[in-house]
Amino acid sequence: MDMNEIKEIFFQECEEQLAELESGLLALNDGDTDIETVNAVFRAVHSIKGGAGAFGLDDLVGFAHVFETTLDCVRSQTLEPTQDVLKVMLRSADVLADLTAAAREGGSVEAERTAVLAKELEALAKGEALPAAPVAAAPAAAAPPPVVASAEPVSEPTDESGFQPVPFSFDDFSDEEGDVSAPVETTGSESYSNKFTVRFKPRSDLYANGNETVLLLRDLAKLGEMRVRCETDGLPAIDKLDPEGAYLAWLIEISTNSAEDEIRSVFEFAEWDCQLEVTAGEPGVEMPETAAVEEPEDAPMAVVPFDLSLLDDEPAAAEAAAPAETDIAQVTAASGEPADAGQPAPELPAATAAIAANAEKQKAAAVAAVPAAPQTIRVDLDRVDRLINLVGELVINQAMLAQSVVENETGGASAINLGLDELQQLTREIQDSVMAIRAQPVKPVFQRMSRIVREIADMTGKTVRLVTEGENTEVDKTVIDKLAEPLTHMIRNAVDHGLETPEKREAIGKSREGVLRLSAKHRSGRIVIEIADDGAGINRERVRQKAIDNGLITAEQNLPDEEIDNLIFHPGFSTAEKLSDISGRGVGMDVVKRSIQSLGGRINITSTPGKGSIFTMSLPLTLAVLDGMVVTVAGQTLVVPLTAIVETLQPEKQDIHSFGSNQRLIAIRDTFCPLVDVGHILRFRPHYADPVEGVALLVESEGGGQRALMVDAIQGQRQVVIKSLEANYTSVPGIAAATILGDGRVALILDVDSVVAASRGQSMRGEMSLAAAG
Amino acid sequence: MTSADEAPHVLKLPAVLDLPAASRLHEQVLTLQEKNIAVDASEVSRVGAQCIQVLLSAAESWRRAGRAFSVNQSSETFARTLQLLGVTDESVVPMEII
Repeated sequence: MDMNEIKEIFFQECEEQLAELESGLLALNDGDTDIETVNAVFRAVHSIKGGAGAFGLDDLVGFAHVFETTLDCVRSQTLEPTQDVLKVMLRSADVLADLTAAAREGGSVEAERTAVLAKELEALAKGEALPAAPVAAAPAAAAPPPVVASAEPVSEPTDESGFQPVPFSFDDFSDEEGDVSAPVETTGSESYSNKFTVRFKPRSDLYANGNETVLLLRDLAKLGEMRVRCETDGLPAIDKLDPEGAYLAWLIEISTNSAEDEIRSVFEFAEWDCQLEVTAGEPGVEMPETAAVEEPEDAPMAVVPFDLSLLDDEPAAAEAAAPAETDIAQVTAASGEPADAGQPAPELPAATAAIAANAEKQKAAAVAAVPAAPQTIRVDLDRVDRLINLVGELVINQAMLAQSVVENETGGASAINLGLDELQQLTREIQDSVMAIRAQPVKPVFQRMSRIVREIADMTGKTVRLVTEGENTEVDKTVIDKLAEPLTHMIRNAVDHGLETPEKREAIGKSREGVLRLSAKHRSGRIVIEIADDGAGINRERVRQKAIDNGLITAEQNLPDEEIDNLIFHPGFSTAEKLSDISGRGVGMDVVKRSIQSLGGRINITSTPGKGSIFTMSLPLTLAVLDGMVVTVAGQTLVVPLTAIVETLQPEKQDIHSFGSNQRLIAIRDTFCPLVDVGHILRFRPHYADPVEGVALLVESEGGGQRALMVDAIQGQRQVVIKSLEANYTSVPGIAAATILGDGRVALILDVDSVVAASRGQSMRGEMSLAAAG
Repeated sequence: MTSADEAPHVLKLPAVLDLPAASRLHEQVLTLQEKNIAVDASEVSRVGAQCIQVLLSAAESWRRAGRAFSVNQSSETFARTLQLLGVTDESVVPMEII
């Protein structure tokens, strides 16, 4: 099995553990006193330590150990989780995250910070320990300095499941980075200190779960020199054989310098799906000659694409994965358990019984440890993406089919039409289900923000409380992945520039603690994320002055408040007199805006002087499909996102009013709304079209305010599959993406906001083409 | 009834012999039950234990039926995997390594 893959799985699990750790600590911080929360926190650190030990990540193990010891004091109630204690622990969780990230991506963590925190943690464990402290607290006092890798075994607090991290050196893998501290001899049996006999009998589940004997034996072979005997006694005749059953067993003699634990850990991911017995000494039966140790690495066996992880408990993934699990269950059931197929070798009947008992015990322990976690599978994102792409093609294909049926006019309620309707419904359902697989709650991103807030609060000496709402709101994974960066920047900005210092707040009658509210919710097919602070609000006078200085607006221009506020998103605009370390990292709010826009999102700000500012981001739930209105403009077919359209209307001559040189308004009931000729603004035609001959789409833009977009005709309404224009061609101003219509033609999807912005005036048009050029 | 002397049917193995391939291989072998089989494993770049299992079962069944079963051509991967798995059945271990 590829080491990097196992390591990657470990890091993915680390991410989950870290999230668990942080949410547990935050819950404790909010006054949660449930012992289960403490246990969960402890388990998280304990698991990270265990895994890190297996990969020889000494820094991580060292720090996790100290952290865990202190947590154990909390668990055993010798240390009270006061706010001060939790503050240290939250910071420790940050360091643990950093150490994990450093181990994953390379790089280093500030050793001093780690050491200081480790000392604080130790002090907590020691300082609070009563003379009659339970034994579990003792290791803290005896523990070696944490960041220095120690060869001595440290005593391990165990959690209630009895899980003991298994130290296992993978140093002998050539593709691993890091120093090879203890090179393992692979040749010459005299140099091996241990000899083990391994009896291994896979069950069909082992294969169904994506494991493979060949890979396991290959990994085992890397630990030393081995001789293998394949036992075929239980193998039925070909016509009785279930090709997916498991009938073979293996008897392996291995000479190695590794300990028994290390031999066992090769089978770690398969142990519940096989009978495994490892005993010291020789097997006592005749073995074939030395087996090949080397396998051509360029032809790897099926990589394990997913594993059934009992620890994974993301509800969304669980739901989505349910059908897949059923499949696996069916396969397993169909293949049957060849209970009597693999007869134990006659020379070791008692031992085999012991293996079976042991396996049962392991299984029972596993079940006991993880009581009710819903089953999920880890699936390679590429596979989901491929599926989404295929479903996209299916949607297009279905639309094409529908169109050709219409063109060939089969007449009324024929069976074909009926079938097509059903097909359409099914396609839609498939598409929704596939999208649901990618949907994930924003919680992990929000949790990361609490750390950002802590750090900046520390740096700026401000007291900040982060309140999060709607963190279970789900959105496409692509959106989530790209959300962290702009969000981080906005949070930094809000704390650094938005909130006042505690002294200043006190002076104006606010509480010393600033409140930052981060919320997510679904609104008309989009996800809306708000960052609200109760700070000073935008200093409009300064923003205006800066914009005049930078030549963005003229001194005479009288802009409404909303537009002044939005000036901060203009490229190159920064009101900070001096660039601070925190928010002024050369990245302006324009970059934030651009990255939100590249996701098909919009950002908007509302600010009340003295009361604070609210940044509102609205993002599509998915980047793959869109409900759109198909329209004709100057002979071209365009798609207007349905979410943007408020209503459509047929303008009457008396409703159209001209003013200025080329501005037109349309009267809608008792209000006037600017009329935007889409064909003209996209330069499809040089002159303005007659509004009376077209249709007006009343749209609402994120910046507030409505516009009536003039198009020539409406063709219909349908769901379209979004194809990126940037990826396939190049970005075009005013166009968000493209799609393929039922007749195979490409239609452009209108970027309503940028068209509205372009209609507002010269400066915004400049920005628009700048965005296109970038 | 075929005798062991008759010209064997060449069973060409695909490049990837993973779990899904085991069922296909099994079906294919079943259709050849009346024939002598010469396996060509020269294209095999990936092989899992369950396909080996099918081959081992087939080899034994053919032996019992008095028909010929052998692996005449083999890729290095195939040969090495057999070695790694400790398979010693003469009908399955390749006669030559190409």
